[in-house]
Amino acid sequence: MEAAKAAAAVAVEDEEDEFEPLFNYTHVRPADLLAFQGEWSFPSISLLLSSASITTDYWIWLEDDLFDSPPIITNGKRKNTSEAAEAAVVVIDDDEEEIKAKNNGCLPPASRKHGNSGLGLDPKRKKDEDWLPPPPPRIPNSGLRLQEDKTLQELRLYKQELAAFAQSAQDALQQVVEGAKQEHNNSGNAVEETIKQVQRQKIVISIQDKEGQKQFRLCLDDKFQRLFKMYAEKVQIKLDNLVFSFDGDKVDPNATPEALGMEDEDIIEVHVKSN
Amino acid sequence: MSGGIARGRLTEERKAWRKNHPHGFVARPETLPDGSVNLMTWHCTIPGKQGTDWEGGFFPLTIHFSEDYPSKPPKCKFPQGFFHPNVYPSGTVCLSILNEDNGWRPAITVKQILVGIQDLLDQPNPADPAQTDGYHLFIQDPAEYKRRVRQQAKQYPPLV
Repeated sequence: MEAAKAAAAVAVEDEEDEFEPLFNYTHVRPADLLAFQGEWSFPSISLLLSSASITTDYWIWLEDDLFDSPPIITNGKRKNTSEAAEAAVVVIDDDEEEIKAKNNGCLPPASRKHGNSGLGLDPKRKKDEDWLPPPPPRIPNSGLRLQEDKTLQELRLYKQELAAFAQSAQDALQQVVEGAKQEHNNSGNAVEETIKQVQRQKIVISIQDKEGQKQFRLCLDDKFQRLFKMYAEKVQIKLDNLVFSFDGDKVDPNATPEALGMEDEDIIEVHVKSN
Repeated sequence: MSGGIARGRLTEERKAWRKNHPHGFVARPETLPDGSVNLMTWHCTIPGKQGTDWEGGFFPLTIHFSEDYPSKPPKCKFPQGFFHPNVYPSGTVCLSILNEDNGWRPAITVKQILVGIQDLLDQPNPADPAQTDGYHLFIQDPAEYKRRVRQQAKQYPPLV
């Protein structure tokens, strides 16, 4: 009897235009208008309508906006909706539950009992269950535990993953630091090598006498001894009678161009002893 | 700012001198006790020209550059009491090219100054005396003057 009423109510909504000339539904309309506005509440509809069950139907259907759907399907839908609502309510209770609810979407919530006890929807639900098809088989508690464990495991895995990621990031950073250090050391070596190369670099030095300059090439770390000897042979003057000076100072045959801070094309002056 | 210009110019002067300078001359910026180089003061050596009474002498000359160099000429000084008609008792050289109001031009190089002073040694300018001793002997007693010059050359033997 109640179900039939509900179906009729649906039909009213569905085919209002067809039936309008034959029936007067003015007493129903206020509810419809309220529903469309979406402002009405459970107590208000109960005042307007005599049957609680019809009220429930109206509420659900109008809320879902599924006037075109056949009644049976909408019944199923209604149940799902209520479950979803319950799941949403459960969310508030516990963080773990929240994750599960989000993960599972509209799957039957594991803690249905818990949700029922905590909600003020009990009377309505009981009436619903009076005429609704039996609810889908519940997942046994053990399965639920498993599922919870799975979620926990997933969380744990995720946490481990994050930890591993953090570790790898730290490793990468360390590698960069090590690399930089090594590079620094290498660059130091490179500098030393460059210095060695510079040391072996040759420079051109002019030996200037009264007549003019003669250019010689020697290594920066070569002693002048060899150069002076060579020069003495070239000008055919005894080495002992020659005095070499750079910037006014006598040049020690054991000194090197580097030691005297010589640059390319610097001039060493040669003086011939008078006696 | 002029100080920066002076140092820049003197750096170039020093660079050029190292690559090329007349034989026997020395010109290098002063090295301070802490090892730093003072570009504003140069210690130089001018050799006495060969074939003159000044031959064999290597005369020490100090050049003091001002912050206004090269707009203004440097002050060139021999040791105090240096014997020469155109050298003040203080040792300061009196030479037209070193006179701001006379022959100085910013383009004159250190090398030109030193060679110019070397020329002045053997060719004093009696029209512009700077000391009585040297001037009087040069005018009145050429023989004594010659002796004094040779004696002075021996006072400044080659450093090396």
